[in-house]
Formats: sequence, C-alpha cells, structure tokens
Amino acid sequence: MTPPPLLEVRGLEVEFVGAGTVTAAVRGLDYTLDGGETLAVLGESGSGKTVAALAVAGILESPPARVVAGEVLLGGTDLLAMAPARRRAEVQGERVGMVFQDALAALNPAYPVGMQIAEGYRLRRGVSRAQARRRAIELMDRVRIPAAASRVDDYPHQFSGGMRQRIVIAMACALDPEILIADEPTTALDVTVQAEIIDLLHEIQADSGMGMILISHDLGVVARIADRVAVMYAGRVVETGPIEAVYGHPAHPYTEALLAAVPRADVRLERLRALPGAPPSLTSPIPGCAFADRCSHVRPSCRAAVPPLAGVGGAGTAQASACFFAEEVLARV
Amino acid sequence: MSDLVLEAHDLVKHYPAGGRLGRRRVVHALDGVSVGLRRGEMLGLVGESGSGKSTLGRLLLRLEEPSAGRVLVEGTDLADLRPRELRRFRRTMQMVFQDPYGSLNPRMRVDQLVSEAWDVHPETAPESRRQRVSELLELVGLRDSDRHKHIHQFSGGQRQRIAIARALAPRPSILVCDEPVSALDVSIQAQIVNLLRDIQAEMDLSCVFISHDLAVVRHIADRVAVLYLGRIAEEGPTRELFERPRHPYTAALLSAAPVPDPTVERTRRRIRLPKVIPNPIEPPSGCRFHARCWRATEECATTVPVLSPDDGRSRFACHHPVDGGLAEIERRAAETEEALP
Repeated sequence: MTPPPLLEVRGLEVEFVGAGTVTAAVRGLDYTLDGGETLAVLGESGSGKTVAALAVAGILESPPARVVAGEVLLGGTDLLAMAPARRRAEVQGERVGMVFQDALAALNPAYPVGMQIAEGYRLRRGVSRAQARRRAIELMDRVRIPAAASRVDDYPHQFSGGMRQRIVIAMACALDPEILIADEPTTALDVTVQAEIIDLLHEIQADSGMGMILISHDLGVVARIADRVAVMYAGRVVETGPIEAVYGHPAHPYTEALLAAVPRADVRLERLRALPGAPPSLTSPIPGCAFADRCSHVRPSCRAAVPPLAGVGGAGTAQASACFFAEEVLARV
Repeated sequence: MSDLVLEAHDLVKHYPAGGRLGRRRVVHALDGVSVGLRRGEMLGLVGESGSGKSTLGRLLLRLEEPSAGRVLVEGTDLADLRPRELRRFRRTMQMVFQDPYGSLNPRMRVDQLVSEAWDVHPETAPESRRQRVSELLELVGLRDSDRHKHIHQFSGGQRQRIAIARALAPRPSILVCDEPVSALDVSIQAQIVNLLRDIQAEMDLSCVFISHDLAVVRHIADRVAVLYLGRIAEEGPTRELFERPRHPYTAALLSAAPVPDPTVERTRRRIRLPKVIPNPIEPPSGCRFHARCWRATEECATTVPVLSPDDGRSRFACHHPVDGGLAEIERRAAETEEALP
C-alpha cells in the first residue's frame, strides 16, 4: 500500500462575496503533494492559484472570501475543520511556511531582519533572544546571505530585492515546516536574481526534504525545479502530472495552447500561436468545460457537462486531464 | 536619405539623487549611449532594472532632455527645433506603455481616446473620424461597438489594443513600446506580440521595443541592444546575439532566462554572477560589469571598453569577449568558477 500523501486537497471551493455578486474563484480543486517533492501550480491571472494556496495555508481573508466546500488534509487532519486559533498555533509557520511575491510587504521596515527571521522561532520554541539571534544567523547563512553575522541587525531597506526575498525564505523556514508554499517568489525580480532564488528554493527543499508548492504563471521558472505540475484554469486543475509528461505531451488543449503561446529565448519560433479570447467570468456558473469558448477542438458535449480530472495514457501513468477528448489531444503531438 | 530614422549619439542622462549641499549625488542613468533605429526594423532594448533602457526610450522621444548628447530624427536634431516644428516631429513618434490603465484616461470613451491625437495634430485628421476610428479598432482586433465603452470595461490585453490604436491614429512612422506585454498573461501576451508584428509590417513602422523579457525580444526584434548600468554591452542582429553572444553579460542574461522545457532547464549549467548590480550613483570604474565578470582582468577595472566596429556580427564593449554557443560558454564559465580559490 502506498503511504498517504503529505498534503491532499479535495474538492476545494472558495467564493468571494461582493456587492451583489458572488465570484467562484476556486471551483472544485484537487491535488496532492508528497514529502520531498515540488509541485508547481501554473495558471494565469484569475485562475484561482493564489486563492487556493491561501486557503490551504489558512490565511484567506474571510470575509470577503468563504470556503464553501472541500478538505485540506495535512497528514490526515482536515485543516479546514480545525479551529482558527489551534490552526494558527499548530500549523501556520510551524508545519506550513509561506513565501510571497512582494518581500518588502512581508517585512516590517522598523525592525532588524534577524529579529524578524527568528521571532516565530523564539516565541514557539521559548528560547532566549540570544539563541534566537544565533538561529537567525544560521538561517541567513543557509539562504546564502553573505556575512550573515554582521548583517543580522540590518534593516530591510539595507538589502537588495533578491536579498530581501532570501530573508523572507529564511523566515518561512525558521520552524522547519513540512511544506513550503511559494507564491510567485521571483516575479518581481530581475532575471539573473530570479535564477538564483529559484535555485536556492530547490536547494533548501532538497536538503530539508520538505514538500514545496511553487505557484507561478511562468512556464520557464517552473520547468527548472518542479517534479510535478498542476495547470489551473478558471478555478480548477485542468491537467496534472510529472512535468516532463505535461510539457512534452500535454493532454489538455489549454496546456497545449499555453506551451505554443510562450516565446523561448533559446529557439526562434516563426510565429506564436496566440490563444483567442480571454478566460470566462467567474461570477456566473459555467455549465460545461470552462475552456470551451477558446478551444479549437470544442464539441457540443463539452458544453453539456464539466469534464472530470481523469487519468490519461493508460494505467501506470500519473498524468490526468480534465478534457473529454484527452486521448486525442495526447495523440496530436 | 539616411537609412536611420532615429539616432542617438553619446546620450547621457544624470538625475539628481539628493544628498547634502556641496556633496550632490547623481544617478548615472545613461552614460554615453549611441544607437540607431533603421527604417522598418524592430529594435529590442533589453536590460535589468537600472540598465537605463526606459530612460533611453524616453530620451529618444524627447519626453526628457538628455544631460548631454544628441537625438536625430530623420537626420534632424530635435534640440534645434522651435516648439512648433518640434510638435510636428512629435506626431511622427508615438509610444505604448506597460500599463494602459495608467496611460489612458478612464473618463474618456474609446473613440475619444483614439481620436484625441487629431485635435492635437489637426493635419493628420481623416475626412471621416468615425470611419477611421472603426478602421483602427478593426486593425487592433476590437469591435466597432467597443467605441462607446470606457477603459474599465476591457481586459488588460484589450486595453493594450486600445493604447496601440491610439498611438497609431496620428500616422506615426516611429513607435516606441516600453514593456508593452509585461503585465499580460502568457496567452494574451502572444496576441499582442503577433499584433505588433503584423502592424509594424503593414504600416511600415520603425519600432523600439523595450523589455526585460529576453524570450519576447528574441521573438519580435530584428536587432537587439543589451544595456547594463547605462551603457550598451552588446548590440547586433537578434539571431546572432542570441546564438553567439560576445559580451559575458549577454551570455549571463541568456543563461539565466528560464526556458519552458524541463529537459533543457535541468541539464544546463547556469552562469552564476557574484554580487548584485552595482548602484548607479557610484558606477564601477572601467567596464561596469567587471566586478561580476568571470573573465575580468585588471584592464577591465581601469579602461572603459568601447563598442567594437560593425562587422556584420554583434558589436560588443568588452576587452575579453566570449565566443561560441551558449552551452559552450556556460561550460567554460563553470570551469573558471571551479578553478577559483
């Protein structure tokens, strides 16, 4: 028997209630994460990738957000059923660490970085300030901030953007969480700095054996370090599988179209195959496949029912697609 | 008539950066950049934050005055022109920005936005404004019925289409696009990239395309200039520059650019640059890249390299250029790194 996954998200639904409108941002999300693996959640704006991650981490602002259905199982315990206070004490930071896009917003400009990195460690572990400071230096070393011991008392504004993101990563790792959720961790950074941060995340994940969820819109960034990928569209996972399989032989027309639309720096493509149209509105129910209006192979049955996420390519593969004609898509390449 | 529609000669732009009296500091945004835009070409300007690429774009359009140096449009120095003549030249040069929401007035309707230029430049006004607006909307892939809408009723990609229609209204010959697709999703980005390429060919435009995204630039540009801390590191035909980079910084940038292919990504040996981009308030001596370069020697710290002569390949400002394909350069850079104490 295979051991249960480290994290399992089942049927997650999240809504935003606004003035007279309800936006179904996440509409039935399923994915699993094993210890020691990196799962990339790929999606464009409005796909629900960030909202889903915030719900998993338990830091969704409610209201306006509301978890309507689903389970988030961490080691068998449903986090959504846990009392908020208990969840804050036992899960957030402790078992699930989080890194956001904007490092400057995640840091308090008025306190030295070392103090912020180890604050959670000091409070949770009940250690002295001196011990916490030593831990901060150790963590700064680990994220490769040069001369950590002399920079531990510096303030956030004294660091470059890339170094600040390293500080945030150190902070998220302070309590040795089992899962690290990184939401667009390199999007605000220059390309050479981005490469360094991605490599650092990979190194830390591999060394500690934790599971990592890397949320990104960038197909290139993800390609370097993800083991598996979940492609989101309009609040659902439309395709998932090992990254080589999904990139090499996409089984959903959306994945296929995304890969054809993205330009590459290493080869010249004659013309990008642009996707027509834009994602659907999430304020009204979508009866069938959400991608139907933009899909070049759409058929009447696509609009009649929501295609479930189902395995493709025969038994034994880990690739799944939410398309009624997944086998045909797979055969196209 | 010159083949160059737009020329920059030794452009310098310094901004004051505060500091106490008697110890005034300046940001060296651009320090001696010469570049030419040929008729009908798409010139890509790439670089990281602080490279000066956006400053260069603004100086080319004379939205800002250079601290030194000249900008020639069709051979005419804009600084010599009287305001009336300058305005005539302005019409021929239009700009598209990254954030159409920030550059388009939310209170105006689409048709007002598109036709506004004809009030400023009446000589370009068509006989039927209504019909020309329809034509422009169709050209950028919008519906005629969109003319009565306001900007908030459109998605990011559609807004950028409106910004392009507006820029094209006064029949420019030069278009400067500053990160026009950077805020857009991948699927929408491809639509706008294809649109810009089609329009450029159809309207015989000469374009400057400013971007931090190497993949997009490779796809759209005929020629590319790579900027680093206010200077051109390398400049040349797109394919040449991407396949056989000569400046180590170009190679490092290409090496860092992620490729949507797990097999390629996992096998490449990325060039690691030590330190961070230096502060443009106190730019390094000699070659501005020397402290981060694996090929640097003493000469690089003291002598500013000048751009090599045009021999049909890339021109580069480097004392010790690299040669060969990117994989080969990556391998040699890794060997140098390992050999360091």
